[in-house]
Amino acid sequence: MKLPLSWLDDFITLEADLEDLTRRLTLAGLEVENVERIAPMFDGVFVAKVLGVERHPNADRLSLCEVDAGAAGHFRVVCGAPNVRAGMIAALAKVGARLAAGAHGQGTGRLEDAEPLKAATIRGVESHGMLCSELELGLSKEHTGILELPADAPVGADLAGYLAMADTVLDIAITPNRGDCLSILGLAREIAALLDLRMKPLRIRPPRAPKNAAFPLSVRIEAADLCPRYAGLAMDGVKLGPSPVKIRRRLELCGMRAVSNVVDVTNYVMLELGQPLHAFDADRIADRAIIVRRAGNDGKIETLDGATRMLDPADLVIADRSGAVAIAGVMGGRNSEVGDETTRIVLESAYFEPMTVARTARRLGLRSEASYRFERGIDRSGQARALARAAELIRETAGGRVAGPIIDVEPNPSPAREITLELPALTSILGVEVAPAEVRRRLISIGATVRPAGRNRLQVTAPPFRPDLNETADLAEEVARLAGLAEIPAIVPARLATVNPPSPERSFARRLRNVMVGSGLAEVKTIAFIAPADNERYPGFEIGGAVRVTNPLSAELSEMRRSLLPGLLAALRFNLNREATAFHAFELGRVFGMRGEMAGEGERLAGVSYGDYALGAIGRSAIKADFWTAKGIVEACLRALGLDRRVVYEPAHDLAPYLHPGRAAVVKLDGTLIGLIGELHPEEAHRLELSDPCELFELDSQKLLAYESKTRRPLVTPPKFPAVRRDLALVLDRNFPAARVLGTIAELNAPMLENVEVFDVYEGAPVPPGKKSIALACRYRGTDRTLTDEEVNRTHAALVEEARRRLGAELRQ
Amino acid sequence: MREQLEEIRERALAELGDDAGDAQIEAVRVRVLGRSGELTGIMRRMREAPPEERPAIGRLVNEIKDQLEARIAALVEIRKREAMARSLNAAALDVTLPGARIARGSLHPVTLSRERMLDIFAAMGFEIIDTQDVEDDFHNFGALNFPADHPAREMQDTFFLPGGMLLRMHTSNGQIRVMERRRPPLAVVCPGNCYRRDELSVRASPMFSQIEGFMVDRAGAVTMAHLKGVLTEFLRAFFGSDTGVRFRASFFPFTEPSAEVDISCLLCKGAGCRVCKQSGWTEILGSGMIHPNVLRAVGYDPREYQGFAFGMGVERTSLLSLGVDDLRLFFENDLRFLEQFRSASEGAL
Repeated sequence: MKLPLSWLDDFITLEADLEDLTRRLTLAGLEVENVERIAPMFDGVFVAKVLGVERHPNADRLSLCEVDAGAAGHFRVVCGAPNVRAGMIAALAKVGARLAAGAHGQGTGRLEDAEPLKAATIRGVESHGMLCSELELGLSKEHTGILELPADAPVGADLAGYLAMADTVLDIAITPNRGDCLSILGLAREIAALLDLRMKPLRIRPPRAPKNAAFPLSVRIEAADLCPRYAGLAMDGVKLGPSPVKIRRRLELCGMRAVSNVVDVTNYVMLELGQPLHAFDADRIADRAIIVRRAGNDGKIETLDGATRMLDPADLVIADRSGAVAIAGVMGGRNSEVGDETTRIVLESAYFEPMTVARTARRLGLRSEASYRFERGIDRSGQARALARAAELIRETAGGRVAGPIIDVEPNPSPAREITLELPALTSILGVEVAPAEVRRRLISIGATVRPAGRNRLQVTAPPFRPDLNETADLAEEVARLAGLAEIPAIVPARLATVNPPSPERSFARRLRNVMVGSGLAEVKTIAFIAPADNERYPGFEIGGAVRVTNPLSAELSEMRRSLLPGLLAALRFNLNREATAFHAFELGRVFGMRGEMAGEGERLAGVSYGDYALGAIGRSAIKADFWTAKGIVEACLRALGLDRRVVYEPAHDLAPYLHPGRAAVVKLDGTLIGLIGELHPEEAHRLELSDPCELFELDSQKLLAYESKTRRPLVTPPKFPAVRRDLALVLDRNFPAARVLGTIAELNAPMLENVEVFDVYEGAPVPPGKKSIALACRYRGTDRTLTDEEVNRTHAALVEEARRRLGAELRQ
Repeated sequence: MREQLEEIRERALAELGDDAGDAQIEAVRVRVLGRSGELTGIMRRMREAPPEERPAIGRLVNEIKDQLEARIAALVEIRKREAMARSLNAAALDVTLPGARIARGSLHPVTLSRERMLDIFAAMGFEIIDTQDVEDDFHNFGALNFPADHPAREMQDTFFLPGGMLLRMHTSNGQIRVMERRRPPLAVVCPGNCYRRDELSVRASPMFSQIEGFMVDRAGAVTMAHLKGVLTEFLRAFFGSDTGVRFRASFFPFTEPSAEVDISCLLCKGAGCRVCKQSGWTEILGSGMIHPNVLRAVGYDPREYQGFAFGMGVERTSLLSLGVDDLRLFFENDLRFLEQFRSASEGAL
């Protein structure tokens, strides 16, 4: 809400300095977002009366004018405006005046750049000054004639002062609960309460209606639940035209555009008092009979902005017997709009329920200054006053006459909102005791009625313009904020001394991150919204179908990621485009998928490894990321979680189409799928213009947490007796997995066999094509003695024979 | 004979000078000390000497022999050291060159900030509880006192998902989720992602993270003064003990009274600058006493229980503490930015 201080001055006389005012407002919840100081666009311009006008001797289109500028002097000026006439009050720029807008609107808009006006000889006649148009004064683009000031403008006064051109406008952020501050009056009330000022009395006289109504007006409310009060006033003799410059200037300072005198008055009163008004052309309302009802089967209506709007049967409309003429509280209809021909009007001043206006305005995507105020709740009692104010201004600016009494229909009078305020409850909320007299004073200052109601208790009636005050907590806020919250001490609560067990999720996430950092990966954060094509390419695992956002920012961000991999690959591409040649990163984040009809979520730990990985130095090339790097990182992670012995890796086959079919593994924990590791499919790598192999992994971190081994593995004392190693090489099909070889040997339960591991895999001569040789190291150890060669040889020979037989392998000698 | 011996000694010592090479040393050793060397020769001719002189000559021979052997040993040792030095020198490296790259990653700056924030709250006795990103209307809005069609719902725009779900627009759903299944006393912080319909820009992101905190106990046990105490302590712990903290009245549907909290501008220390729009203050978080309607929504009687709640944006707080002003840096994942947090990452968790 914009607050021009010149307008505020109509309601209060401000004594505090500006800095203090903005600070107090901000601390009290009315944040001053900007302070705009407006400099006048001219100086040396005076209010002047045109005494006489003669034809210029040498030019048909020019006039010679005698002008009286009171104390500022008496001048003869040449004027080319068609509207100049004797007796009019106009703006005279004296010799030496400066016009920031320039004589033809070509100025810079800065007063200091403007050349002082010189006396000029125009077609042989000397002109001592200039009568100005609105364009020249920087008031508007109007340049068809000179500015005509109201007849009561004080001749000889400095025009900048008269029009209050030098002004300060505060831009105040109004929170949704403070609809009452969406007016100059409301802000004045608030400032008066904050600074303990007295409001100037608001002198608005009720309109004097003629004995016999010039034309009848009736109002019928058929939807009293949505419109508890509707007041209308008929006026005739209205002549549409532009508003006086002062009204236009105030509208403009508040960010509104001037339209015509009648419309401007409705907007002016809305800004001034907070009550939205609407003017109908009375001759376009059948029988001057207004009906407030739900839209029902009305269908559509063309609104003032020229758009055709579909009405919902539940929308509240203003109608006559032939149909809707306005969408209540949102926008008027074209069919009842005031126009140049209008002479009779009906002014509407109503209270519409906030929810109905909000619902309709949101559905239509149509926000107006009126709907903005209705949605936030206007003064429940301010309807008649606003009509009176508007009638007064329309009489002054458009020559209108009140044609009949205010028709004020209020089927549902609002009950007073009574709150019993227990002072101990107030203290228990705020943590500080405010003296009862001070509580009382503060509540009265915001317009509440306060009566004592026994010991430590006040009976408070909330003012009708504060629908947000309903219970003790609301009053506590008022009491606290009027002092800027400063009187409340800062106390650290005593019970925070208790010790809470650390969150298992947090400890787990910290461990995962530590392992990843230790494995050389940089943590990244990517955004969860992705393109549908990326969800198709990277479907993740065990997450469900893609979640489509109902109201996405764009088609490229219209789905929720099912996997973290597309985000990681985008980050890889981003860095490769910026000089990076290697990228090793991880992300721990949420993924999303459909669970039946509902959107659901999961959590993943994912990583990417690309390019030089580690141990490179001058003269020595680094280890480059390959499948083993990614698998090594996953193994390190599972080892850190104590899960490594429960995990198996199996070929993924076609489970992950984005991975190289021969270099992809699923990770299973106790038989459950918990992740995938693999090399990006060469076609994908080509699409992403990657020249090196790109290694990926993604794990379900929630399942990892669920399975994380809680019981520590028992400690084993180092063996006392030496081990004996025997090697074994088996020739198998190239695709035979090593894990099955180890599994088969483990099943043999060979005595004294402590451990078996693969130490080499070889392909090529003399191993036949299509075959590979797997070399295994078997470690034998006795628990109670040093084993003899002979007994180890015997056991090992038996193991080799049995393994060979079960695996159908050849022995390699 | 004695003269002869002295001559042998003199010559040998002269030849075993400091610069004598291995070959020369060997030549002297063979010539003088060898089996058929000069000293052996003298011993053989001992008979030629008068008997009374023989013992003295014998002693002299032994003396010269010991002397030369010691000298040779010393020289050999020197030469060995020299050779070692030469070979070490030949193997010398340019130690100013960089070492082998050990794989070592880094944490994201937002993780670092968030963990530091949570550490402070944990130290103050708050429990840390994770809640969900995909929410329903009740937990994101209704229970938090946002009535249907209320303009407060539009303070920020929400993303909606199928099945009547939405992406939470704040972590305040954590209050509801935790209070629904627990009874006071509670002191909890809920970190997590939030989503709002903003394009990624210098100031906004469609996805960001917040930390919600709340404390509930018997009415009167947790007051607005405690809210001020906890947040002031937190902000001074996070931003430094000389940070100014200011509370000003505001509005949130789920708190009453509500307060926004400002800290003194970190750039100008409160003097007023471009960043703080000359105010000297920077907005940092929102807070207030939990609205009675929120307590009612989770089945607490507001006459019996009372509490405070607060929420803050992690990215925003992180930007402020890092002194950078472009939110996009956090989501672009440029290694040249991320790697600057390597040292901060070590031992941070």
